[in-house]
Amino acid sequence: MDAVWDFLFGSPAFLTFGLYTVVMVAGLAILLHLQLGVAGIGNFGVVGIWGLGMYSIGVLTVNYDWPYLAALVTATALAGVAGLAVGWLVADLAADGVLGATLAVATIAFLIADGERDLTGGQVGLGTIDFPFDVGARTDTVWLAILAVVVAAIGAYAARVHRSPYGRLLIAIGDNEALARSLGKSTFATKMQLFAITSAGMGLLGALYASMSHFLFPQHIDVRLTVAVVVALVLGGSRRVAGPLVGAVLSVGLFDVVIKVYVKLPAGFVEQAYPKVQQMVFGALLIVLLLFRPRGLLGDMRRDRRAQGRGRWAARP
Amino acid sequence: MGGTSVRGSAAVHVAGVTKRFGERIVVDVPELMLGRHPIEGLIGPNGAGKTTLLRLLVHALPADTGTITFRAAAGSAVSVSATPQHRLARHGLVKTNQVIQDFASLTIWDSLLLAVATRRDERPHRLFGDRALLREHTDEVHTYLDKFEFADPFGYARSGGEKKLLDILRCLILQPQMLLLDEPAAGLPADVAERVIELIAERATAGMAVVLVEHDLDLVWQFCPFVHFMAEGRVLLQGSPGDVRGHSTVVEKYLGARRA
Amino acid sequence: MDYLADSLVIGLTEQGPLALAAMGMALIYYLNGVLNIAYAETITLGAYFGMWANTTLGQSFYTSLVVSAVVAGAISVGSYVLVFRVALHRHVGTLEVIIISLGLSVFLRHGLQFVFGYLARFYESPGVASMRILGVGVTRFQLVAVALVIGLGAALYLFIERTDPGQRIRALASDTQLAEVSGINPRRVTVLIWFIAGVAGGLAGAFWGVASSVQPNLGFSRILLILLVVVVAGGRSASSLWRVQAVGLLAGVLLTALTLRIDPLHAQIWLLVAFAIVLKGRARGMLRIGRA
Repeated sequence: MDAVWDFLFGSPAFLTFGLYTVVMVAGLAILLHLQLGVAGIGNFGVVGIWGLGMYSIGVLTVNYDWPYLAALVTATALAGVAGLAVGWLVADLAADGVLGATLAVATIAFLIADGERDLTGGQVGLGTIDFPFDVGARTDTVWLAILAVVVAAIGAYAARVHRSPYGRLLIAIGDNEALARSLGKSTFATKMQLFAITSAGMGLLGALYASMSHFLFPQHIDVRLTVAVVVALVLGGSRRVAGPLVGAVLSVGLFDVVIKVYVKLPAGFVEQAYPKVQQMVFGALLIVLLLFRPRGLLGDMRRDRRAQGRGRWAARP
Repeated sequence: MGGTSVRGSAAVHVAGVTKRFGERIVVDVPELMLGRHPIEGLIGPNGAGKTTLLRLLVHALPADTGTITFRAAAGSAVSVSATPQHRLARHGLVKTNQVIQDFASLTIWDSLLLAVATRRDERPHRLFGDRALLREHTDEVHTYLDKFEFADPFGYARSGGEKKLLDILRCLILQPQMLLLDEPAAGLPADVAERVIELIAERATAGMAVVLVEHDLDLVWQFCPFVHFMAEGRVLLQGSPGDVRGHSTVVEKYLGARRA
Repeated sequence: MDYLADSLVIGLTEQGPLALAAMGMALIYYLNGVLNIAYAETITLGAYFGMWANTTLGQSFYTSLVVSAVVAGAISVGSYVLVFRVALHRHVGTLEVIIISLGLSVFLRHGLQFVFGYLARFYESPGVASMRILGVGVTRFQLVAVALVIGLGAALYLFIERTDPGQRIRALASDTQLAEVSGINPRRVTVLIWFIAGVAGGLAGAFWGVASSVQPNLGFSRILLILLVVVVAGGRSASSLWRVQAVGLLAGVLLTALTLRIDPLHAQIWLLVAFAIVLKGRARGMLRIGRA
């Protein structure tokens, strides 16, 4: 058993961290799937809300000595409130306005993290954020397991949403918002609400990451993460819940786990060129996929819903 | 949005309403009352402004001048220009679409369930809301699906005709107080169109006010006890079918090019 | 009064290129409805090639400007032909095109580092003689930059709005089929527009590059502001290059005014907030217009 454990987690630093990133990106991508793939809100500021959650828990625990759980809940709530505000801002804007506004949110998050030195430490960094418990050398792995549970819960929520009247409304809004309004649906309020809820989820993932990273820098808030999340969504399929998971595994998983841990790369290459190659591949993937296979690997959402219609409620007694 | 209501219920009052697209005046209606009869027809040549008028009535488009007031059965008047379209729909004022509009990802069954769901059903925490929704409305949806055949009711609307029909059924299942129909027969096979209008006539008798824009004049003369004739943005003539179809202006501007 | 003069002069000289870049981006947006995030790399690569012509080939700054313009124009056309035209042919949706442009931006931004390296590089600009305008010291470079920005902007505006070829371009933007029927070659005109847009971006990049340094994220760090100028100046139905130029210059002056009062980071935050308010205000005004 120990031998297997050692093999699986032999380079614990790299592997656990790599797996953590994959699972986290999957979680963020599932939430983005609800915003973008279902309701049609083109959110390009994922890293902004995530960063807000991350820095919130950092500030609360490090600067103000809050107990961990209270800080976690508050960070999540703050992200939710920010999501409500951003949702209010973008819910009646066209795609160009949403792009500008969400990019602005991410930029503002970075600027605050960088500029408010009294609060966040700026470039010096914020830390140390520890795990709320300690089980020795395995704590990292346990944290990964906790994250996996959280992301599984997010996935379960998203899957349930698809099968609920709420999900049906979101899909309708994504398909033809004007038509939904003509049927009496409050599309603005619904979109705003959705953004708040999913942003809370993104903030939670950011807050959990703070412990994994222990030290926070403004550089964490980088478009790189948004790109990874978008790639996961586009690769796996933006219209089905399982898509983001598949996409995250095949993109981030490939680069951060498989290659980094198991392929012997020269050290200099890993430091400098590897991240850039990764970004180039991601960029190329986005272009090629959206030009030639926009539905992603898992394909259209439509196939999912067809099966649902034949449920037992649909048949006449 | 109640079900059946007492006759003399929903009505729309238009006062001094104009709408221009660029230089062109598309709608110019100083005074118009809709809803005093169970079904009222609105006819006129292409470009007369009928569709635009309907869009103004449900606030899909803002009027340049004037006021439009919607009075539901319960009596309270609502100013259309102060109320967004979705809230007007919840008050009971609903319009079908002339150009085909659909939800590409929703099956026919889903589409109807969407229409029938209320705000409470659609709350984000009601993850199992479909159980209650189906329990309450399965029979109702089936009633519609039995009356009108779709090739695959648990699949997607296939032809333009199916989408048009679905559009009308979605509006009907909302049980509006006043339903504005924009060329419902266009794009539907003749027998289906007739069944649709018959169903609408039934509902009108039961209390739903109807305004019917149509080019198929047979349907208009048959089902509408009162007809408005519109041309060049104005309502030129109103009256019973007999009055309207024989009138010289109507014949000259419209019927002359069509069979009466 | 000093504060106003400072804001005006510094704003125009330092942020003048913003208006030029915004006009370039707007051209593409108005013509093809494409919001091209990768336009940032047109700006960046214009700067890099200009710097390269200036340092490695030993050209004067003004000659290197031509290199910046032509190379950036070519890259812009290349991105159209290889990526965006394919997308438009396949009827890719608005949101998806934006994502594609993000992908292209990421690709180019990291790819260029394999050619030019990732460290900041610099133009060799000769010793700068400065003059005083309204009590503020400006270099001749900066004056040329402002003059070029405003001049090019005006020229572009006049070309598009007041000349025959310009009218053909506008016709193409509003109705491709109709334009074709009246004898306009859509392909050639579109390529021309993408080239002009690239030129504008490359020149903006060169001016920014010579004033500070040339880095891989020269364009990307500014693309948000450029995008917001374009979006706030109006959508396709209200297309006007004059408005884009005006908003761009105004934003530049406003940013400078804020930076002079408070630190750069907070100034940027406030500027972004201001943009958000304007955006929302306009949307609210149009909220009543439905589509069904």
